[in-house]
Amino acid sequence: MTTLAAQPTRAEPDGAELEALLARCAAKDAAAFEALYQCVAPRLLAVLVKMLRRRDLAEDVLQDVFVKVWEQAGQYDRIRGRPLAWLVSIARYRAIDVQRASRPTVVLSESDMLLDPRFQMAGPADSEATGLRSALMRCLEMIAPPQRRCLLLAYENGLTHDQISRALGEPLGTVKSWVRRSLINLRRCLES
Amino acid sequence: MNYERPELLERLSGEYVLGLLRGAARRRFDRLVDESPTARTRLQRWEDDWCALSRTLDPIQPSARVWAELRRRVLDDGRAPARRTPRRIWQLAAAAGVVAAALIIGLVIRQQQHALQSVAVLGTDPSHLLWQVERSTDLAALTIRTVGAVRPPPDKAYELWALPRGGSPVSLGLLPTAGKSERSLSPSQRTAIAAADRLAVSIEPPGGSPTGSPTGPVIIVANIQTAG
Repeated sequence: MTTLAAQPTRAEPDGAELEALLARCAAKDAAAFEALYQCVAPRLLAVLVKMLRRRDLAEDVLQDVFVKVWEQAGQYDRIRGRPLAWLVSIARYRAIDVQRASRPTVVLSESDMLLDPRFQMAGPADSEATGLRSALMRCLEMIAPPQRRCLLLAYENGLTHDQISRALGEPLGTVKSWVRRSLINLRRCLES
Repeated sequence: MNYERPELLERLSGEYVLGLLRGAARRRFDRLVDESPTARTRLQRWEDDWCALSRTLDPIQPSARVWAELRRRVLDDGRAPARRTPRRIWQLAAAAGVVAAALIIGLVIRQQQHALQSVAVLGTDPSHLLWQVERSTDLAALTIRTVGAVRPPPDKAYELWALPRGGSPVSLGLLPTAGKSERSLSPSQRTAIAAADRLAVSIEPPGGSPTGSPTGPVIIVANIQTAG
């Protein structure tokens, strides 16, 4: 009967560790697959729950994502680097496919509509303490709040142009042009 | 559309990563990425940049069933890996299961004169058994006895789960830290045990999981003894 040794909470693995695990998964090493799952599944599930808004559905998608990772670990491009971004993208694109198939009614909670608290931490001390001050976060702060909210509702909540337009009460054309302009400005900022 | 215009490519790849390209437009961009290294580079750059945002979310521990089902789908389907390291805990679980099954058979034989059937003996390994789980023959009640020293982490409790085949874990309540605990089973708990092939124990806040699914680490997974 039994067992499963206690699973200690793991620290976030660095890119090199994830790359090593992916390489072993490509060689069909089951232990590496389990280690990879334990390292990144909680983070991917957070992304999926935020997008799909249903934990059971998010967990089903999480399973599909790891089946894909097991099958396609050999396609991870080491030259590209950023293994977590590769994994997060697989999860997000799978969630987008699922959304397209089910088209749930979008109901945004109040917290989704409020200005994201992560952008209200003004002081550099706060930001350093939480370690959130990535280039992306810095550059997102340069974008006006309504436009920024469009980008976040799309990336984090998986909303379409049309859904964002309804959620914010702004015309569809306005939302589309906000997104276009914001993306170009964001890229300029990230490159500077 | 001239995809090689840098600004257009930048915008489209950004919209793709945000999930704003849908339907035919998304499929067209998929094909472009297959054919154009420039498009692929731009797309990957956006993916890398936006990934920073996913790091700001609080991780959510998946239910035990996700790994259990994943393992069945991926590792037990004939494409099983040639190489399995001995550290694999599932392999240990299987080995321990054999030992514990023998132990349970012993317990079942010893208990045949009672109206209780053994469901499982739970422990972190066969030499550290913690609880003995028994049920009444009509499945109306569960009796759990501590058979070892149970020391939960500070401000934590152990919660028992039935793992129905193909379904989500169903809570069977908190496990006692000493002595014996008897509880009657609800209809849904009875259905879950009848459909379950395993029990699991997770570490939870003092009152039990706030979500109805295991939220803390799963420290034990045990097969349910079917002999009656």
